[in-house]
Amino acid sequence: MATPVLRVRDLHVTYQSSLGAVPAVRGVDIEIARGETLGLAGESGCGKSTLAMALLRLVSPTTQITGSVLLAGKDTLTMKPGELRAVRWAQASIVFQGAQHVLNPVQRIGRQIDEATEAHGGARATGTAELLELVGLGVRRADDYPHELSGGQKQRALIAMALACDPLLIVADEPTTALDVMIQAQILQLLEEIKRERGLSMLFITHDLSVLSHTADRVAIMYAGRVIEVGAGKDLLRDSQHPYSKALAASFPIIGDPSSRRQPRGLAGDPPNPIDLPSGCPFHPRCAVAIDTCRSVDVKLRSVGGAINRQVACVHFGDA
Amino acid sequence: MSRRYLIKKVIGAFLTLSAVVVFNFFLFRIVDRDPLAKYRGRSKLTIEQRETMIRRMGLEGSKWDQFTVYIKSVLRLDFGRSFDSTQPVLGEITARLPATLFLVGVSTLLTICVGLYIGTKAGWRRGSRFDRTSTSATMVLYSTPEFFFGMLLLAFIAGRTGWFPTGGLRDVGADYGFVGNLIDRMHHLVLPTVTLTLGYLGSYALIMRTSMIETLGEDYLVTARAKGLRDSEVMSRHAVPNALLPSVSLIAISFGFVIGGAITTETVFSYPGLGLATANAISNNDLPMLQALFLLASAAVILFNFIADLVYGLLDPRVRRTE
Repeated sequence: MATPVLRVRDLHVTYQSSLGAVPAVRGVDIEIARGETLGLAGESGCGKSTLAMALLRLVSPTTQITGSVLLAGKDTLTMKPGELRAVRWAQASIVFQGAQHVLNPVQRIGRQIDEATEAHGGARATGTAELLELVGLGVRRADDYPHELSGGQKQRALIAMALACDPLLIVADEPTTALDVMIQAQILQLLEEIKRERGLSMLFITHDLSVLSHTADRVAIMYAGRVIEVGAGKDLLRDSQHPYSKALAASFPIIGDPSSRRQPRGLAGDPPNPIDLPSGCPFHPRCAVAIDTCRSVDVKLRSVGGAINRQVACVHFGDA
Repeated sequence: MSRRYLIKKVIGAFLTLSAVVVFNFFLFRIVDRDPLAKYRGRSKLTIEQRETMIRRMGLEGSKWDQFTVYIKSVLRLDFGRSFDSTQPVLGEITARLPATLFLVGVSTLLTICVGLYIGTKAGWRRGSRFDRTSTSATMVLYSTPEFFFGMLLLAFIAGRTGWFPTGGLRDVGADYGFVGNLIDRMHHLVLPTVTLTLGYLGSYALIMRTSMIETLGEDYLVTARAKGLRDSEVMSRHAVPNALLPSVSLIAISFGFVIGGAITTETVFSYPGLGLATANAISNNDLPMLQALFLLASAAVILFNFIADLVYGLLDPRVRRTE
């Protein structure tokens, strides 16, 4: 079997705050093969964006990261600063959420794209002009400043920027979150096309499971800093097993299933406070099917029905 | 930069200046209701002398008449004659202007360079030893009046060591040739420049530090790091250009105070510029001189705000195109 583009093992990310250590990611294992898209879903605060930032060590220096992040076989967590800089963007780039201030407001779009390639020696297969055409923006936009672009255009510019150094892996961090549904569909389609044409791997982070049903080969659901269920994209949405995944899937209408549209169900309660996690399974206070064991035992991710690709972390499921 | 933006700013500056000119007329009529009073006690004026004085001071006729005479003479840059020297005010001012412009210009340039450098470095490495040391130091500088530095320098450097002259523009009565005279002037300029620079360094450094720290949390810095830029590149290309924006306008505002600061600094070092002229005019009740100096100081503040607007427009594309 070929080396996966990304292999994360037992990743822990702990923020330091005035209230004490905040474990945002607690022992995550994920793997992405060449050309594969892994969807990572969960509520805000579950640690999915922290996970993405930790891959390239973009969290603040006081934040503790342990485990290993093998990017094309090399561990980014043990790299020297120079090595790390060389890997950033060249091997893995990030499509940030365009609605936030992720583009420098006083620099032209073209300049911000050029800058990425210049930082990596300047040589590349596709020029800035071509990249802008590729994402449907047009060359003239290179001279624009970020405030002159619409939300969808900014997102396209960010995609062009992410492609500047021909990376192996693209981390898409909520790339469609602040866009209206029409633009959302266009951006998803664009990402899908680019991924297929260039044979890229992708880590697609979102809180919107419905987005993943079409884009992701596999989906991992995160809760309180852990992956609690992994499976093939379509299976997971239609037939989720963990009570949290079920609730998450039920809160979005499924396209082609009118009954789900009529009764979207939310999930009661708030996500747990990472400083003060519940004992046992962190989901048990909000879980409808919790039993006594859940209060004391935190079940690890384990295979279901012998399938390698389907794992659940729940006492009710899996091969004991 | 768009022409509309420029025109808008020019009109704005012009309107402000007009308001100051009008305000100045009333201000000095409130400050001194009867400018002739001081001549009454000293000597008896004949009726003709008295009328000449009244005409010369622009106190003839109704307030409205006085106002139109005042506006006309301001437009002709005719500010009357100094009570003190009896010379035309305009000449007195233009004679002293270069000395002050040079002093304030050099020290402002120094303050901007050193202050912004310290502020940038302290803000970027917040909490570092450099930040802790420089912030304590700049706080002290910021809260100390500049004339106090002047007095310290005068007492300990000029007085004790004699390395620098204690005051004046140049050695009186000496001629060292062209180059020698130039060096002599520079020599006299050192302590006043250091005084003014120390006096204003603190505020510039603290402003830049705050605005740098505000920039640190911005998402585009994460983007820049993710792209594989060096820390120094992230700072100079992304953090500093954005952090400069709020500093530019604050510096322009504080520039108005530099002219005020020159009053005390020039007084301490007997440096014959506009600041010393202002101090003398105040103590001698020289109203025509004061009126013109006030107008000049206001015009300088307005001019620098205008320049700040232009620089802001150059630095921030959002201001440039959307307005």
